Amino acid sequence: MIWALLACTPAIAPVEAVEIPQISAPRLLRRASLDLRGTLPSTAELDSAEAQPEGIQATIEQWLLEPAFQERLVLMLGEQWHTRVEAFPIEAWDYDLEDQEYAFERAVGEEPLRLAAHVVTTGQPWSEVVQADYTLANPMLQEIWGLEALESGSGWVRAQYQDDRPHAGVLSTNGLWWRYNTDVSNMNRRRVAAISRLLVCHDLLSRPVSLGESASEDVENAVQTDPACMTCHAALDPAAAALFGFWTVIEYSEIEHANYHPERELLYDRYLGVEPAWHGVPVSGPESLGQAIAADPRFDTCAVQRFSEALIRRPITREEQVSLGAGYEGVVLDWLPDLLASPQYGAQEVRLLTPQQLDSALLQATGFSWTQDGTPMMDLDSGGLRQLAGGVDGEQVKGPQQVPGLTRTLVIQRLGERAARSVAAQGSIDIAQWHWRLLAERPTDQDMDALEALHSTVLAQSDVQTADAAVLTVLMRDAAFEAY
Amino acid sequence: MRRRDLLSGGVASLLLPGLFGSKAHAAGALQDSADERCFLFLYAEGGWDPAVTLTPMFDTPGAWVEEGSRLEYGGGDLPYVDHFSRPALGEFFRQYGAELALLHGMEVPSISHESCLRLLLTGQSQALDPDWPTQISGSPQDRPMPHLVIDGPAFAGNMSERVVRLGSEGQLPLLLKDRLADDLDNDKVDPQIQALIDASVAQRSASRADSSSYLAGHAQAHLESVQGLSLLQSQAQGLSLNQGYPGCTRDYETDFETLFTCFDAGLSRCGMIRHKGWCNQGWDTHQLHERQGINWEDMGEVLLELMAMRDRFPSVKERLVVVVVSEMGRHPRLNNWGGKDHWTWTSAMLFGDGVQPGVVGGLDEIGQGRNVDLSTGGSGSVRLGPQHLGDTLLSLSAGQVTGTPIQALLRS
Repeated sequence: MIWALLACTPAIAPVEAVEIPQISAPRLLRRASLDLRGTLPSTAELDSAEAQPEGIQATIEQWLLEPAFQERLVLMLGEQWHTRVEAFPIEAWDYDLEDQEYAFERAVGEEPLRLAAHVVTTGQPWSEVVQADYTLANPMLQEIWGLEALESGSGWVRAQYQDDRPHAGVLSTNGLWWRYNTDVSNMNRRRVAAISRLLVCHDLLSRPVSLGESASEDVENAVQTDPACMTCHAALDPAAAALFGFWTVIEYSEIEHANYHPERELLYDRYLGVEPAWHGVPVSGPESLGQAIAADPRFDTCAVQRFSEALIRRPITREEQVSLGAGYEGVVLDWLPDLLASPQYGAQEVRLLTPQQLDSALLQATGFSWTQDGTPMMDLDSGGLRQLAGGVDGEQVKGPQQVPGLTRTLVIQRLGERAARSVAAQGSIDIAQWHWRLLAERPTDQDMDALEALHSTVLAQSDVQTADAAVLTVLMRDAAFEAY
Repeated sequence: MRRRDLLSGGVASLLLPGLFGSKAHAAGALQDSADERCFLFLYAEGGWDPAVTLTPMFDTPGAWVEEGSRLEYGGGDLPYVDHFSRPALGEFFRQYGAELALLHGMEVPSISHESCLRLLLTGQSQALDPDWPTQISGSPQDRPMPHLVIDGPAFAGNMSERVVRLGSEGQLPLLLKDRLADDLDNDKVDPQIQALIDASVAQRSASRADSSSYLAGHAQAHLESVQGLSLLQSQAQGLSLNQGYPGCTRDYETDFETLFTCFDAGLSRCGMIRHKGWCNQGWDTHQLHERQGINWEDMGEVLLELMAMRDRFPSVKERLVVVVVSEMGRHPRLNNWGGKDHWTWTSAMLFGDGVQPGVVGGLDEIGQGRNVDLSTGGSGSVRLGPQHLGDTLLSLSAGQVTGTPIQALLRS
């Protein structure tokens, strides 16, 4: 029987082993450092990679255990989950936090991302992301939502809601549901579409919809009877039914949106007329919905796809998903070394630094960060530079910029000018060392001649500090700097 | 001009403003009027209800009809739904109806805002290709800001170098002037030294682009963006790239001025402006459907501002195409919450150079789109979709048309 089934299974055509050209060891170290730490490697680390390329993987694996990786995961997942937005149904001023708008928006939007990153970096099975009996919260969230911290600490710690909501990992977080808000007639369907896309890589919304005649008369009836509607609603509505405790019916009310509503759990029967289920598997609420999602065969393959795309920074093919996921057994942290050692990760493909990577890399290398009233400009849309620098805002821009553009080039110019001045103010520079540090490339004689000529020309018109800054600006605006 | 030609001109030529684009290009080298057209997209975010104003549903059984509304005819005998609470919109139809083309019964086959928006602007539910404005906008080597997004969506696909965002608070002009954020006391780079730095950056990119490195393609794109920026910086001096929020919503008049200034200067070919309804209350009226009428009146005021601004830019006016769209329509009937749910059939409004005024398509007795004859706009066998709108826009822009444009919308 098994053989018969296997014989019927459509086989994936064997992929001919094609050698994928790899980037140099120092550039690979730079890529991994920017991905996992958000910073450039030190010159000592680059020297070591150049001298002993075989030692790179051990270094990279070590970085997976550093706290910085958790911060990077939050940002990488944010590009996919689109929760780091600057508009929620409830705003900072609803909590008298109008002077902390950025901190409020990031706290809310990062709640599910922090939980996901925590699951990964603590080596737990990825299924915990929909089953954990806690969330992650910083002091602001603890205060405004009345969460109880489960451990001490001044930053993001494990915490629990105190409103009797069921525990289902990210499915129980306000942060996720505020981003994927619902309303009286949507009744959680948008939320189900979101978790379907994020957790099992099934984009229900991409299916074409062609409404039949019955939809013209009675929409609510049509979703259960019209084949055109049922294509999606047969999957959407039962899962939406499991989330009725999170259903909100009053707009702009922080009490309505911040709290779970157990008294609404059974309203699905009245409004949706279907029993809670996940793709045919009966569930009784968010907890068992999380369990059903974790047991969905697509959950693991989706994890491979999502994390591969986060680090390879492009869509991956089905064949790549199969080959990259060969060693995946449900614990992302255990599998990431395989991904980072894969030819696809080290391929000679250009990835562009995100605005946040630009900020953290230059902060660590130069001590400069562009801020306004303490808010990082490279992570801010309203009045800031995240969107203009090619970043994902989660609303109007859903994917990172892949090729240079005018505004991104302008942002990097202004950022580079400031960072360069900051370095130059600290003392004279070693051009060759900065070339190595910023680009992970040893300068050629031609490079050095050109840069020294620039330095001399500027020096003739100005002073050493200005000349140093000019050379550093050129390096920070170099095509190889924004690429990694 | 090719990169190799540029390189042969030496380092200075790498950044020489005027080699690309600019007014000279727009005035001289362009082939015909379609090449010269510029496009303004005004996008009503959230799903408007055309039945409130554009597509009368008085005879549709069960359809919600606003009390006090009546069928009226504007300029050119253009039918529309009038209401005493919408004087500005009525004025717009009366004054400019003879210019307008209305596209009715266009099916956007999704009921999700995001998918509908992608479908509307790209013809695909998962936008891999660039949207129509991005495709139309052309190369940054012709205009440094081909598609200027004042506010709103853009699906750039693999042409993200064409899309330039002004920034929600006008960050782009501030960046150009180097006056952003805490920079009021920022030490500006001396212009002469700046020129040396710019030339060095361009030189390094040109060298990389000419190498066999895997970075060569990226370096070429980088070089072009540096050149585009140099061109913009040389031309943007004295240009108004402003925007403002005088009340609870955008200052659309300023937006139009900014965009037309860029069209006029040859800096841009396309622009996107988002309308989020009166006081940003949104068009997604699952409840409180009366907001649609208020939004339409606000849209009427915005359109009148647009026409007034158009008159201030005669050279833009004669080659301007305006496209007013929303990602979806609203169901003919009210829901249980006093609002209207999503509907896959919607309308679009176009006017301007090359656009044949009149009405194309319509709704049947249950509020679904009627099949049309693309050449006449009357009844036919074609189900109208966003792809037809896209092909029409590409045709108007002399772009590469892969499908079938709506000939009835094209002035012969």
